[in-house]
Amino acid sequence: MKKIASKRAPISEKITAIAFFIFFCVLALLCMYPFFWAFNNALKTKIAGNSMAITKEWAFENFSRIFSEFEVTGVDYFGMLWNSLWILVVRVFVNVAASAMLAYAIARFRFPGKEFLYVIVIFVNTIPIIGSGPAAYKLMYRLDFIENPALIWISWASGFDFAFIVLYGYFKGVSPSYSESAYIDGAGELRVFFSIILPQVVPCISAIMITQAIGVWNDFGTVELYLTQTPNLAYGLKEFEKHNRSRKSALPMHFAASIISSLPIIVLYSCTQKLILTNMTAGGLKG
Amino acid sequence: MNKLKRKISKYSGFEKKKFLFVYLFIAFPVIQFAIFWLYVNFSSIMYAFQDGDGKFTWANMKWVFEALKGNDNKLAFDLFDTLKRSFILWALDFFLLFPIGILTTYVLYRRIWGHYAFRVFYIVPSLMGAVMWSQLLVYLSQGYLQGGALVRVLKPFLSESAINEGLLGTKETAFPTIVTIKCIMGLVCNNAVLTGAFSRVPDEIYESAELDGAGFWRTFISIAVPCVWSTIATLMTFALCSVFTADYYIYLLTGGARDTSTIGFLLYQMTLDRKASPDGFLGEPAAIGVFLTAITVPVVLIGRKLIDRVFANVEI
Repeated sequence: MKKIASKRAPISEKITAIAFFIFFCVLALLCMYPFFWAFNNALKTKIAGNSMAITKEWAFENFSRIFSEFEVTGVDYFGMLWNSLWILVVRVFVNVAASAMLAYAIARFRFPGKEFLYVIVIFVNTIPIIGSGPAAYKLMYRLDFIENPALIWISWASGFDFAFIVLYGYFKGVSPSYSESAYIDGAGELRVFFSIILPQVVPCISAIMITQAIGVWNDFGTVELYLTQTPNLAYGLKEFEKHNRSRKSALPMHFAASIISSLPIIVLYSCTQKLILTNMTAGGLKG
Repeated sequence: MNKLKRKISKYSGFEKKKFLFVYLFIAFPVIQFAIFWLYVNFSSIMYAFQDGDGKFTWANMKWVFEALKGNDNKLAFDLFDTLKRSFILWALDFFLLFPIGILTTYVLYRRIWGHYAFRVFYIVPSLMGAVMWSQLLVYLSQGYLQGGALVRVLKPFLSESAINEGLLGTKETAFPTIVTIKCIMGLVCNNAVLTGAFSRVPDEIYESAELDGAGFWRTFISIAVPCVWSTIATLMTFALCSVFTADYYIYLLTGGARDTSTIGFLLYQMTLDRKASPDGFLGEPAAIGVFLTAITVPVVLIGRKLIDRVFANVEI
């Protein structure tokens, strides 16, 4: 893609580009300032008075204190980190697996009920049914899913969401000649799916997984509703702050924990940004 | 059933084997959907028309209309004002921030200087998550004596109470502060799906437009947007549906206090309230859901019709 306002561009284009650049710089500053503010306050021994003042204390021990003093409902930082990790892996995997299974079947096979299922997916994603949260909670309670990590993954394995729409487009785009050649060579349906089709959509699946991982890593709502005894970092940070709001000396540690907890996902996104941006498409092009 | 049997008997043994594979393959997601979406939503609608003993009643729906008129003492928030605030935030998102988001995504896609760094900077609020971001904002918005940074900067423009209580601490500034936060976070949009769509438009189309003398704005309005309109339409439909989605920021920033509650927040709070009586009566929250669904669905359907009509004849 040609750059905005390349060397030979007219002066009006260059002015537009400069205006956008200034606008983006201001926005970047607004986005990054709270992060630097948190880092500055994470290095103080206590937060009192002007929180904007640059620290002279450099109390880096706040970062090491997280691993011994940061605790919520009897779970320490490493426990919460472990919970964040397993929730992320299980939730993203079961959701993408269910979406991939459904999208593959609907995109690649002719079978009775196919059109009906496709219409249902579109309906679910485009028609909002509001206020079912309390009913969902009641069902989860009756099924004994609450505070039950061994069963709760079933509720996460929804194949009818946005991941379906992205994957459906990709599965449709894979040439049928690949699978036909595999059938001629004697491959079964599972072999075709896992060895022929799936490898071709790995970049798209990876992009969906990373995008979902960002949301899941920061999701405190699910844990607050269903898994309070298995706190993840997002819920842990919320609860720690709630219970230590008045302790001025605990707040720097809280900010240190906030920064440390967001680092894995910031690194993950920075490294995979190109993969996400080139593989997430839905709706296609006109024509 | 007989019709389905007749239909299946038309297929060969090879095709029937394929059907077996397909049905086994989709069995889990379909059963999961039947339980966790179909049953949940169906039962939620039914609860709206049931009393505590499970008998049919209009009382829950009548209660919603009374609550909208302000004749209710069960909710901690005024339902009409809560609905109004939800629509204000949604309209801001849909009519202002979404179009600006398309433009900023396009400019980043056109690789403005520092585009790689900007993309990382803009995603930082999302990466840090609602909990961390809102906690930082709560501390930044605190009153002068508590060390609130924003109050110190904006002191000349604020009232005495806002300076003392903080930007989220008074009724006059709490909701405008939330609107401002939403604007800043909405402006820093770099939509991955949209970037993917822009990158699939052949370069030759842009090049021929430039050869014809089209500038940046002309290329954006007449080439880029029409070419990716189906993607924009899909995203707009999702944005239309998101009017009452869970509003974690309100929950974390103010807990709905000081006239900041929204429907998304209210519904999340009502779900949290279930923890005290998980198997209890659900008539009122379910009735609010049915009422809101009834007013949202026609809006979404009309909106989708209008969206589909725009650039309907564009061909690449």
